[in-house]
Formats: sequence, C-alpha cells, structure tokens
Amino acid sequence: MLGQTFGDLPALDACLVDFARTLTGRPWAIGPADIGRLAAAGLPDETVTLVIGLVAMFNYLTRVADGTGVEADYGGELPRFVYRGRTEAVPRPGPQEWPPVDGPLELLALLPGVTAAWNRWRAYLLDGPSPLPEATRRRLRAIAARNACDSSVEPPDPAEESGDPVARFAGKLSRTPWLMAQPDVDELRATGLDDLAVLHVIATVAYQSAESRLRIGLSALARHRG
Amino acid sequence: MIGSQEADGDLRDAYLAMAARPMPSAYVPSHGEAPGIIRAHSLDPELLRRAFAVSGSLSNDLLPWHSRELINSVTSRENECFY
Repeated sequence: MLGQTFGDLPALDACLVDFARTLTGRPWAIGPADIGRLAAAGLPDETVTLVIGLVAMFNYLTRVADGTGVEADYGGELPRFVYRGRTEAVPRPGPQEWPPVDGPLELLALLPGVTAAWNRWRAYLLDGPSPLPEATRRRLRAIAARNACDSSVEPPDPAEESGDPVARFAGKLSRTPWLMAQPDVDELRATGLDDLAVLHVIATVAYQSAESRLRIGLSALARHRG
Repeated sequence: MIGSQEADGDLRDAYLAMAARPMPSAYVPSHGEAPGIIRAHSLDPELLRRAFAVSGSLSNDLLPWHSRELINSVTSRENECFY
C-alpha cells in the first residue's frame, strides 16, 4: 500500500484514511466533527480510541525509524515505498487556531491494558532515569508539542531555541521527520551527546509527537461525547 | 545498534520477548535479525520493552487486522516513511 494511492475504498476505510492523514499531518484540524464521521461509519467510542492510539503510536515509530536511520528490512513482498519529494510540512496555524486540548488521557481507559502500558512508557521517558537533563527533556517536548499544535504544553522559549543544535534536531524530527539524515545525528553528537543520549533525544521527540496527537484526538472525542 | 546475536543479559531477554510476539510473515526480515525498528531501541532495553508494550496493547480486535494496517500505513505515508 505504501507508495500507492488509496483508490476507491469502502466508506469505513475511507473515513479511517482521512482521519489518520489529518491527525498526522494537520492535527490542529481535528475536532468533534471528525469523531462524528467515524461514529457515523459505525465505530463506537472504544474503537475510535483505538484509531487515535494507532495513529499516535505510528507517529512515534516513524520518527524513531527516521531519526535512527532504520533501513527497510521487510522480508515479504510489499510494494516499494515511493518518496514524494516533499521538503516542508503543511504550514502550522497560529496558536489561536489550535484545538482545545483539555482532556487528560483517561479516555484511553476505554481500551483495557493500553492506559497502564502508555503511562509506564511515558513515565520512563519523561520522568525516569535519563541521559538527558530534565530541562532538555522539557525543551524537546515543548518543541514537538508546538509542531503538533498541542496547546496543553507550554511553548518553548525562543531564546533557548536559537542556535541550539538539539532544538534544531527536535524541530526537524517533529515537523519533517522524512528529511532526517546522518548529518543531523552527527550535529547532535558534536554537542557531546553519546549514542544513548541521542536515542533519548529521538525517543522523547517522537514520544511527544505521539502524545500530542493522542491528546488532540481524545479531546475531540471527549467534546463529541459531550 | 546491538543485534540479537550480540545481545546478552537484559537486551537478550528483551529480544527474546519480542521474538515471541506474533508477527505477520510479510514483516519478518529475511536477514534473520530482529526488525530494524526494534534494534533501533537496543541501547535501552527498558525503553524497548515499554514502547513495544504499548504497540502490543494496541493490537486489539476491536478493529480487524487489515483496518489497523490501513491506519498504520496511512500514518507512515503521511510522514513519508517506509515503516
């Protein structure tokens, strides 16, 4: 499927495609009406939560793949991936146009097992032992959240971002992950970060890119539920 | 990255646990190693375990496998990623 157009799909699949595309590429545009379309296609709230969770998780995995330089290694017969040559993400609107992100992650509880696993992952990366100072983690999260138009995270301090290679890396990985290349990692290493610290930079940015989309999606679901 | 052949201790255990999870044959690498996205986490076995515990928990039959794959594929496509 990768590299192909999605063609004529059944109604539910078309809804899933639209939703995944929007939450990934234009997360600020997600609102209760998008949830309403999934509901009208027959999905109960539990399944909508699953859809949001899957999109969020793949926003993590794709950034880890691009940040670490993973090569395609599927053994089966899958269509060849075709890069479309995009060099910029869709322009982000100003914060006044970002959706309200007021909900905690409690709607994840609609999916037994997911909440505990997600919170354990979150706690380890954001609050656990880390090769990155707490201030660095907070800055990485702020940059990734801003690029997802997530209003629940305090925006980064522009003075801290200016000329900072770590901030530049976070901005690129969160906004245009497909453009990541070896020189980006080399630039991080040149700041004195070892390989474990580089992995944590990548994972923290990727995680926040996922969590912001999860929060935006779940907040839209909460508003749809009234 | 540390491959499964070189891994020991905690990382070896994490690789064994991942290898025991069901995986569609199309995604099993022909090189016999763990998939690259798993090896990408090899410097931190605890992160590997916790991140993939979430992806495992989302393998939920509320949606059929082909629909979950569709969502994953579209998300990757939107991010211009082969994964």
